[in-house]
Amino acid sequence: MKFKKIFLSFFILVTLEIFVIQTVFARISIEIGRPGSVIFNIAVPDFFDLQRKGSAYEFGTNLRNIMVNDLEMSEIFNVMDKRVYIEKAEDLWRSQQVNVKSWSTIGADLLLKVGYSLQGDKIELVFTLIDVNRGDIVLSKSGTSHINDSKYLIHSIVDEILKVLTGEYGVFKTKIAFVSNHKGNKEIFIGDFTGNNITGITNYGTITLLPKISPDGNGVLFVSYKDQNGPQLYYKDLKAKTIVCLSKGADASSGGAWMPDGKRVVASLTLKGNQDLYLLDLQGNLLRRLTDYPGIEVGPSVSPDGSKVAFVADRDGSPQVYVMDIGAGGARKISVEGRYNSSPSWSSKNQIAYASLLDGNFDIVVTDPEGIRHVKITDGGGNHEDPCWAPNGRYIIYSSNKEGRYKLYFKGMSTQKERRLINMEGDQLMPFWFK
Amino acid sequence: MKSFRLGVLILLILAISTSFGCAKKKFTVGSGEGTPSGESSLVGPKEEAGDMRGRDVRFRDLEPGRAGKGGADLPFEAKAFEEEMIFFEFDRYDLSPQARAILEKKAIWLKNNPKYRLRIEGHCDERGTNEYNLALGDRRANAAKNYLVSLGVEPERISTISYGEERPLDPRNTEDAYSKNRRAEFKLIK
Repeated sequence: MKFKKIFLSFFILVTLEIFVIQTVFARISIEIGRPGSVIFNIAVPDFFDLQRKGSAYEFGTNLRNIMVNDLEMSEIFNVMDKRVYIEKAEDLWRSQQVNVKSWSTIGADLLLKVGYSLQGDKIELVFTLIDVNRGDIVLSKSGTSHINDSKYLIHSIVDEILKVLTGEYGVFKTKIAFVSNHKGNKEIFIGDFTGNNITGITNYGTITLLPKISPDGNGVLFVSYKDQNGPQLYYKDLKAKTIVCLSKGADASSGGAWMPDGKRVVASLTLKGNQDLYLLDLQGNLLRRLTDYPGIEVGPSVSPDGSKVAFVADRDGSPQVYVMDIGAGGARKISVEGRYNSSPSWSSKNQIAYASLLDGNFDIVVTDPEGIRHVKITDGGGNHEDPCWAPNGRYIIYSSNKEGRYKLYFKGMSTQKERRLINMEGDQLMPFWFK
Repeated sequence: MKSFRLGVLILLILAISTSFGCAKKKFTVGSGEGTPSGESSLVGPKEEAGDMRGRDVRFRDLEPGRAGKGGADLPFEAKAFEEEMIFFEFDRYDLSPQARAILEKKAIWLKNNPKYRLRIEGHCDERGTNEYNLALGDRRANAAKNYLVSLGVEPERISTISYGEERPLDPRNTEDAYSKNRRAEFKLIK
């Protein structure tokens, strides 16, 4: 029943019913704290047409391609090449009993058996995920949707598989907020991860930047020039459509970040020509001053437990990334190389990504909160800026001008495979990834 | 596209003022950058063409009495005042000797034209991140403001705003464009 509820809440426009046929609660644990530490070899035979009793149909092949792409993008699967499979889909569906040895001998960890049937404008997918080493059924379900939404049905199935194996859903139901100038001015937009339902959430005809969605998804922080008094920090309630200027007590603001409670923000405010970090409530009341330093302090990103903040300061004469305990203070520099390090983003898995000027271009670097190990994850010409983690901490989204205009890309931490996201005119910048 | 149009507009303004400059080169107080013709002097980015001695001479020659009379020339002077920008090094907000010299001229002009208020805009090149550049632009505008105040201009007359990297003069990705974009602009408000 829980699954049904989750499915329905996502597919608002899709009539979807899930029947749990059989679920064995044999969880394969993976070390979630270290994305990329486990990769499962998964065999995905051709999708079987349950009505025509065969698998050699283009419709099924297309569905399988979507599934394979989703599984590979999930960062925990290596989808095995069909050519090494000993058994075919027909063999699998001929008898109830799966010959697991035939799959374990080719090196598979998991077997995903999928069949489909069409009834009018509805499609039903039946799938069973089998741990071929133990011979256990990990998950077995069927899902139904409108035939036009079969892509989303597959996204949902992969999400269910990920939930069982890793304890958390994938990114298919997530959303992205970003800045785009395709209409002339920089305005904020929100779209589905799948690239659909892109809607503008500001339309001020000026410069609007740095969207940060609240932890509950109901509000957005941003910087805008909309009131003719320079860049100020605003909070917009996306449901009530109300807007509050949070930096009213300051001369200007260069942006803010949410505390995990969703009730407070860390903001970079300019007072008397000096930028420092302050803790504000959602009415713009100053709760606490967090830094007191004569230089620039901007770009906060708060740790998932709310105890620390990463930010950018020019204390050493150039912008560098620092981490500070919000309660105790005492900032410590964590960036190590280069004359320009900025835009820290703190993940739900306690990693910090930042943009670093290396060899004349900005690249994305990932480190730990202590700044011990730094790994450059982007390469090859152009700038890569504005990193932001996926809610599950397995991917980083960023904007890059390597193809000319700034576009959004994301990269998985395990496979390091880069993919474009959201096709639009103009430049897309400052992505923020949320649930 | 937008910034390109802005660039064209600015070039147009520069071209127009340049022709003015030629016609009225005797009156180019505050706008002259030490170049004798007054032509290239109006193209702000070529500030290094200036020479200090030339500037000083012009102050002494033209400044006395200009505030009191010659009201008809003031709009031109104001325009020239606005067109002369100051420029910064990458990721820096300290004032170069050239920038100080320009601000010294501006301070005198402001003292002689008390009815004007000034808005200083800080700008950055596109390198670096937008949020840091918002702060950097702020620093640049405030560096200019603080120097003007130290020269005796009333702080209440000066406001500052940062545009970060959002309003480049030259949208290209070249060192030349970057150096033009790292600037403070001066907007007079009557």
